[in-house]
Amino acid sequence: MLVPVLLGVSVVMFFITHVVPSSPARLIGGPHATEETIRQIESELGLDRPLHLQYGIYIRKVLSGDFGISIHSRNPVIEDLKNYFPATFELTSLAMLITLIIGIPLGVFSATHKDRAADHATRLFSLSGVAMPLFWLGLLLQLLLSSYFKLLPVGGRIDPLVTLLHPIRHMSGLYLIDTLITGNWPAFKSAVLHIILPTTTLVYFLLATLTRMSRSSMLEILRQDYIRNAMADGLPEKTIFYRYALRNALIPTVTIAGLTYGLLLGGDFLVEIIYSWPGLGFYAVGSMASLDFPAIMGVTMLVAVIFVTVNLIVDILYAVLDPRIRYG
Amino acid sequence: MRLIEVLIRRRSSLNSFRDTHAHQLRELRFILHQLRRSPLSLAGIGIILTLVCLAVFAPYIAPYPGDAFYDMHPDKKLLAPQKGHWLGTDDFGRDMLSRIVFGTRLSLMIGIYVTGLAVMVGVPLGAIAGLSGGRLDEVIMRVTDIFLSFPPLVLAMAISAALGPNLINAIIAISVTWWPWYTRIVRGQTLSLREQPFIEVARALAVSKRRIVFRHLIPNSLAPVTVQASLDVGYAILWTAALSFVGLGAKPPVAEWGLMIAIGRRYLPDSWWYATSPGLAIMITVLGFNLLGDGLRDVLDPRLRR
Repeated sequence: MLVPVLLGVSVVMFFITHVVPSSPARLIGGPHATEETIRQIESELGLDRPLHLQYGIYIRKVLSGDFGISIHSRNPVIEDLKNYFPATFELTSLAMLITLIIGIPLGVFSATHKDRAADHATRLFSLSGVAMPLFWLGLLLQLLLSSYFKLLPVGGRIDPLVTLLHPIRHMSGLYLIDTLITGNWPAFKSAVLHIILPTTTLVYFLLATLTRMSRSSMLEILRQDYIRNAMADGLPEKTIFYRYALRNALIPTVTIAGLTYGLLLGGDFLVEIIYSWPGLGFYAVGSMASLDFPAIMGVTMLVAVIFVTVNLIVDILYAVLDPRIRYG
Repeated sequence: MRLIEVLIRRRSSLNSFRDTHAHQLRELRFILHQLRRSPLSLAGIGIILTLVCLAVFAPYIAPYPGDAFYDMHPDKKLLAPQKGHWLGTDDFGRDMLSRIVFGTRLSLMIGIYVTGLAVMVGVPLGAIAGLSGGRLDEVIMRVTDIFLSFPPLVLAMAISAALGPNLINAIIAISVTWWPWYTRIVRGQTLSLREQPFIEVARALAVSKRRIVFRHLIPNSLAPVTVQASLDVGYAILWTAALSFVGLGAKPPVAEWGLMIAIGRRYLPDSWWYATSPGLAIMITVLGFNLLGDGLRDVLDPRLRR
């Protein structure tokens, strides 16, 4: 599945980025560049060759790990991706972990207390989370907790002053883990304080989707005969809900969680922009705004790889959750 | 005499409409009846009707209609909410309430355009794929796979950026990423409908493929499409606002909610009213379509019917 999808994505993106009216050569040359300079830049970038040849060259380079040079940052795109991805990974994974820990029990609770006050409250909460613009929620939290109460930093990943005094040894690129392992406490504290707001924003949005999903799949399972049978046999409710029902209800929930995780790893754009979180989304929007085509292509290819990989992991998880599903 | 004749004829044509569409009418009445029993769906319908009224009568409701376009009042810059400007004013002294009311018009149009485009492309493709099977089916479904195996917001942003960021291109970009969902839904429906006797009869009678697709397959697979579309109108508004927010959608001075939040953000935390009210408008709108979509799903999905 990976190869055809990547080929497809690369063709679509290559087509979109190369058949557009806005020319990258004109952008590099600046507003006062003469026709001659522009033509020279075009031939340097290989933009004057036929499109299918350009695509062939691009793919050959990509296969050898060369995504080209970013027009905007003037670094190799692959280096940029390596620098920006860990920030996104850290933020998204933390948010997903918290969401799973809170969301699944909340959904089960809502389903087992169907049509009671707690259920209505949970449903209203998750509806509001789905309908609320993520970037707006971020702004509100910033306004309240950073500007008004001055509890948390407005944005960024870590206080630059702290890193100056207590430099971080880069191992995994995940600040929370790197600082924890090396015992760099001031930097760890700063990293924790910076990650709270973006994580909260993401968790709110994720919880809404996940709680809804786990509630509805749980409700569907609870209607099944074998649950009624277990009830009639007088098994304790806790055993029925958590051992019999939840395991089956988890499959659709895991699907949604996996899909969303894959989506967000590709850049939780809006959250990253609001909190100036130097992740993939931040990088992608910057490159899109400046029509940095090599960077846009690189980001989209990486995003596609991540997305397909996460989907594969979800498929494998199915077999773990439901022994009836077997592959191969 | 002639008048009576005309009236009778019209009456009878109405009756014949009733007779030939008795089943559909009964179904419609049933849906309305079910919707009326669910308070949340009613709330959704209420919100949407209010928004439609705001959109249609915007010039009469907005206190300063000109402020939604090119009017500027430098002397009234960034006023806090007060009498006369219930939601405050923006950086050009324009009344926020007026701009939000006109924004409703724009947002509903965006929602309908995006969903409409996606439905128009996705639904026929799905029906064709499901009915024809074989090679054509394979090709169409692989193309949707490529689109679905890709984070849609990233794709929409890339397309919008490449086409040149403006509102129209944002609408096109989002539609481009959405049609595969409809293709999937309709294809699934078609596959189960294809085996039904009435389609078999139509084929046996040598009814053209085109007629089978447009007269039989599509109308019969509309229920899940309706549910999805009613949810999508809300999400389309949300997404367009997000694109505008990052600078890949509407451009000033358009009164678009996402753009208003983006500009209002520069005046935080002092002018808090600037960025907050458009966000609230987006949230209420999306909530309305979500409630309606959920209600419709409960009614139209036979598995949930009791």
